[in-house]
Amino acid sequence: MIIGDLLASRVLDHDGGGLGHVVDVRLALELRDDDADPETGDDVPLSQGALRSDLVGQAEVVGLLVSPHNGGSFLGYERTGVRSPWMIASLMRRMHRGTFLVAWEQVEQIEEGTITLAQGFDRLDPSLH
Amino acid sequence: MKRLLGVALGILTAIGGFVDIGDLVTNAVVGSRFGLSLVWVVVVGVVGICLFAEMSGRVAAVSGRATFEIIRERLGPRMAGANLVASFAINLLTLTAEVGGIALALHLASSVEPRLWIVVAAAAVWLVLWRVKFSIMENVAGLLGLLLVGFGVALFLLGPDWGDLLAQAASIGQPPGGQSMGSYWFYAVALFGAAMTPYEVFFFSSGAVEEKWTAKDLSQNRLNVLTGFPLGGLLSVAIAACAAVVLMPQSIEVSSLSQIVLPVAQAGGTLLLAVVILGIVAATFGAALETALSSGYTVAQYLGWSWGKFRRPAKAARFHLTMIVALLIAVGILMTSVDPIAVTEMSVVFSAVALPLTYVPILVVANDPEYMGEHVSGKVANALGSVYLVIVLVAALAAIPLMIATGAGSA
Repeated sequence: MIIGDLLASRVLDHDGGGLGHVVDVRLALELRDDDADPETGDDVPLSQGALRSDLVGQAEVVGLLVSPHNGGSFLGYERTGVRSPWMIASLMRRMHRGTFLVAWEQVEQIEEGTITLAQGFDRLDPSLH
Repeated sequence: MKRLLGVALGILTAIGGFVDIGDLVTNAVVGSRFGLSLVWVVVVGVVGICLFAEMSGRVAAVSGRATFEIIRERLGPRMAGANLVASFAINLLTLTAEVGGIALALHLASSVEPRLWIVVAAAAVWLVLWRVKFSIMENVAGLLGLLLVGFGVALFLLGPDWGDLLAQAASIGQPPGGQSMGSYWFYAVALFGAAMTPYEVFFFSSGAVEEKWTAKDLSQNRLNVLTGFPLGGLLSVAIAACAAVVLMPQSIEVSSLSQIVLPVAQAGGTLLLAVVILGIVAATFGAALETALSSGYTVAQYLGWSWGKFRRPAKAARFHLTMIVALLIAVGILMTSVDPIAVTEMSVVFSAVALPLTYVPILVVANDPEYMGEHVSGKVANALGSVYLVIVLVAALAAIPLMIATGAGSA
């Protein structure tokens, strides 16, 4: 399976009710010891990490981002609290209001174009922090 | 001393590299028909390209990612794929116009049939892309492009009524007698597209990666853009003013390169003409290199291929192959005897149509602290960026209706 098979799929709850569409797949990169700041233990920002791409470990699927209104891209606004530039940010937030993250473990079934979630799945906050 | 020289070189290259066939043709056409009444659009376009190039240079320097890598990452594969198809097609149109422009300029200097020069020009562009180092390629084309200052010299030699030119420049929204309002706005969009062309940004951001910029190079980036582009914009204005002084009173409508340089020949004779033709060859050659590279950059960055002139061709084979194919298509189009001036006029209008496709993702990413850390856009950049978002969208939406309504400005 590739991510392209999942993107834009319809998402249904356990009883077949429509929840929206997959707008993104959230991945986590395995952190290696030397990726973290030695003093604070924090993850190093991507802007620095981009220059050290040889240190990236394995990727793991965290879950799916589901938008109830729109199957298009979120331009990255789901990850952070960024509100600028105001026009684009507010348009994106409006188009994708109610977007949630669902953990990969709570995905019950994947068919072509349709994804069914497990009963009692959790709507997680889509932001990174 | 060496550092000062580097700064000067960067600025001079930005000036010389600003003007391409689109600016040349559009400014001359506009000058001959509307005088300087559209010069405000050049100002709007230059401020816009400064803003846009500064943002994309900053994003590339801080995150190490060029424009199309960001478009792919932010828009997802499908929307970014549609964006790639549109951007690539319009960039190809611009490349065709630039190669045609080299051939026209060489034809003017030699009277050898332009179709022969097309092949020579395209082969020379390919050879430079294959063999010449990025920085040398950029600096030589940019410095020789400075010879276009000959248009400014010609303007002074013509001794125009400066008061009249200023009055024309101040008559915003008032086309001179005999010109329709529809055509006026059509050429406003074309002039805007000529100043803010998407390839400049593909090239500028990828160039920052080629030259291995980091956050430390940001002040140099800002200086190059903020001084070089406005001075390059002055060259555009000089081209339009020459046409306004010589061609407009005689109702000569520009349809060939020989008409564009007519004021120069009239004011400065053969010597100044030779200087300006050399400048045109350098400017169009430089822009042909940049658009050919942009065709490789966009496709390679979207598909995740290795790219860049800092790699040897064998290490970025598909990137080089894409550029070769783009050049061959451009030659093929020109060989149908299509008028390169007409191709140029199309390319600037469609540039305006395609601009939002690259502008919006850059504007968004320049605000993302995950990418930019402390170098996110400030309040001023965002306020200006939002104003230009509206301008860019309006120009893109108005371009095609205006083109249809005015018969591409002929009404």
